[in-house]
Amino acid sequence: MSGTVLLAGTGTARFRQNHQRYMYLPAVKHLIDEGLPGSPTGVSGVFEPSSDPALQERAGYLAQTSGSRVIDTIDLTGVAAVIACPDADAEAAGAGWGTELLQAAADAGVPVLMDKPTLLPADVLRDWAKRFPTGVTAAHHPRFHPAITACRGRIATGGLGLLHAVHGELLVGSGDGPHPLGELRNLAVYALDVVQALCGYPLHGKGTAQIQPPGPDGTGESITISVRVDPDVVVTLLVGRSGDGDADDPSGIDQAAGQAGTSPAGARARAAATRALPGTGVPPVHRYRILGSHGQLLADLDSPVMDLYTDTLSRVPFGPSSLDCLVDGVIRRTAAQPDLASALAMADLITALETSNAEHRAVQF
Amino acid sequence: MSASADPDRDPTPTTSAAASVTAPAAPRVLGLGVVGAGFIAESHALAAAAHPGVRLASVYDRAAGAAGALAGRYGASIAPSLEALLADPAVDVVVLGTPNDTHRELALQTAAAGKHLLLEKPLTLTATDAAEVVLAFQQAETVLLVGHTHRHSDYARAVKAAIARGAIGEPRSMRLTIAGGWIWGNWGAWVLDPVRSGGHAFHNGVHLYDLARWWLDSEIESVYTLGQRVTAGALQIDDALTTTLTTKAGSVAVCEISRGERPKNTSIFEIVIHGSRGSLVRRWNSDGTVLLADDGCGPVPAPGFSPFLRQLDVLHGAVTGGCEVFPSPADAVHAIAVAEAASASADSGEIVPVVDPPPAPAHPSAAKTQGAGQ
Ligand SMILES: NC(=O)c1ccc[n+]([C@@H]2O[C@H](COP(=O)([O-])OP(=O)(O)OC[C@H]3O[C@@H](n4cnc5c(N)ncnc54)[C@H](O)[C@@H]3O)[C@@H](O)[C@H]2O)c1
Repeated sequence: MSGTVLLAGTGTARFRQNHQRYMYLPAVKHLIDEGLPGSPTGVSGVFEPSSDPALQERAGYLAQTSGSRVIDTIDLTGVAAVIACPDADAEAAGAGWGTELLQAAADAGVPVLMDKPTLLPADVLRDWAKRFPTGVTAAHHPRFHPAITACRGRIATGGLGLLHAVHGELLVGSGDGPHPLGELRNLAVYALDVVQALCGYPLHGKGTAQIQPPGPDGTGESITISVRVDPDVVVTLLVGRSGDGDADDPSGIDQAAGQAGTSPAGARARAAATRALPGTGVPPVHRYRILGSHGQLLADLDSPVMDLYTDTLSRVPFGPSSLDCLVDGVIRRTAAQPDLASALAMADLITALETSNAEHRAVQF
Repeated sequence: MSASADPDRDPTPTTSAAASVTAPAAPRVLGLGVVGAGFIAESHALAAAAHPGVRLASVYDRAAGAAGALAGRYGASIAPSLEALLADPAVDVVVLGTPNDTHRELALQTAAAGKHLLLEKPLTLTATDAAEVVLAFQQAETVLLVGHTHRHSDYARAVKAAIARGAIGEPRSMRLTIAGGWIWGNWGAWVLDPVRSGGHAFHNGVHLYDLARWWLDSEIESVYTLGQRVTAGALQIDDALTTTLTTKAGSVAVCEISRGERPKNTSIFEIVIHGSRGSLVRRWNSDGTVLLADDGCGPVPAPGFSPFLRQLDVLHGAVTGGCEVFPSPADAVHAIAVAEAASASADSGEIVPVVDPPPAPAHPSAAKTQGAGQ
């Protein structure tokens, strides 16, 4: 499966998130640097057909730093995987390239990693989930974090008995700032997906969400989710963002949510990711307490890491980050889940939770 | 009747002003009468032994053996009946550590006897009863302190202080978890009987609800509860209870109280307070010690200053110096109103508003029982 990676699209200008630069390219470079058998050999190109200057600037930077070039036609020759960051606004207007890309990849048998599908217009996601039931992985990377992988393995083999509760926190710093579509869709989706991965089945049940809007000082939303997932798994999640963020701040939650990792190439972004809480020099709070009939697991996604004591306390992460694991899994075709259908189910769950918040009542999902 | 009616037991020097300048006045010694000599009574007796202004005077328990054992260990007398203990002039303050369903009745008797009361939580099993008890103490002009002991613990004070100094900005959401394995004995335990204990929301939940209300500095407006019977389907109460509280200020608290976890002797104690400028987190190993042993594994609580001693000192200050009690009786009533709503929510599966009983009518000499807290 060895080959190159195509970076397709540079996101949605309005969303401020620049995930190709701060998330995916560092992971790809890390895998290239590791040079393990089957790892990617390079970046084949940066596909960005949009004439939007902001997106073109992003693409130019990516091409320059990855030793590739910006292209405006899809070329999958020698490509082992595509990492797609579609422009949600263009897709909503029917002017996007996503369908064409997914079809080309499906025809060529090349797997696609799709950046956060819950930010896409609902009808676009629904259409893609129907047309491309396989071959596309939603980039919900925290479920690929080594700690969560360890937990999933133990749960799946009965090592915890039957789950009865999952309680988690995902509390981040300013990162790239409050998301215009809300943090339930942008940030809480990661935590919900972790719960789905731990349970091992789509989440249905009943419960509530409460969303405190961004503060007048520009600080982000706080979200509290309290639900009972079928058959009887109590789930509570605290999700929130502090600070108002910076479009050029590489400490975006999307890295921070999945632990820094050790990529030498991504050192700058990783160092920045560890200052996700403004002024505190510490990573986000991201952890899960998983309760079963025969035991419990305490997973801290601020790991694997060692503490370095000098004049200051700093951190030495080791091993792959959740992003490294996700990208590696897509290239090796071991990360088929979560697929687009799973992302669609997650988008529907989020819509139900938005209703709960708006109407201050418990909802079925 | 107040303790000042018994000057014989009061070693506080009342001589010259000069004497009080050179030597600080020793605190007046209050006589404590313990009613209910069970598990928690020992903590109160220990606190009394450590407080120079308090001594354990008398013990009454329906089970004479329990009363005798506690009285014997601390050199107190054994009261033959509740009436005898309440009539004993050596008793200034009653500590009530009996099952939850007895609180209302025994508290009203204590008020009628003119004694001060340290009443174990939960205050009562309905908010209406709670308001009635508070009113009785207001009218008797005696002190009522409800045993929300966690408020007096090192960790709870540290959280309050951190929030108060703006360490995390404006608090927005929080998690408070006190979860462990089974400690409730067999099917005969009164705690398992919803009529006697009120269920988990009343029995342990009130500690958490009270802390959330205090830390977030806002009354609880509505609750949503997810209850589970983890240990056995035949339980009449939920042994794992997760309640999400929404305050009037709009902040949200997830309070999880559980006795249904495995392994049995694991104890998880978690605090996360998320604010506009950061998060305060009590890590799983925050106490510094983690046990991995054949008979247990998990974090080991670190001993600290005794919350029972601090609590007793608040009571002592209120009785002898007219200081305000902390938490206020109004806060204790509110905790019961929250527990009522939490139980109703667990039953209905819906968000339930918290309904506080109407405040007791103002009483001219009610200052002592209307403390605003620290
Ligand atoms: N503040 C805390 O942290 C804390 C901790 C544990 C218990 N508590 C509270 O303390 C109270 C007692 O709990 P416990 O665990 O010690 O219970 P327990 O069962 O160990 O002890 C209760 C005692 O009360 C006696 N008793 C029962 N009915 C009586 C009556 N009518 N008159 C006199 N004695 C009577 C029993 O014989 C028993 O000895 C409860 O209200 C409980 O909620 C508080």
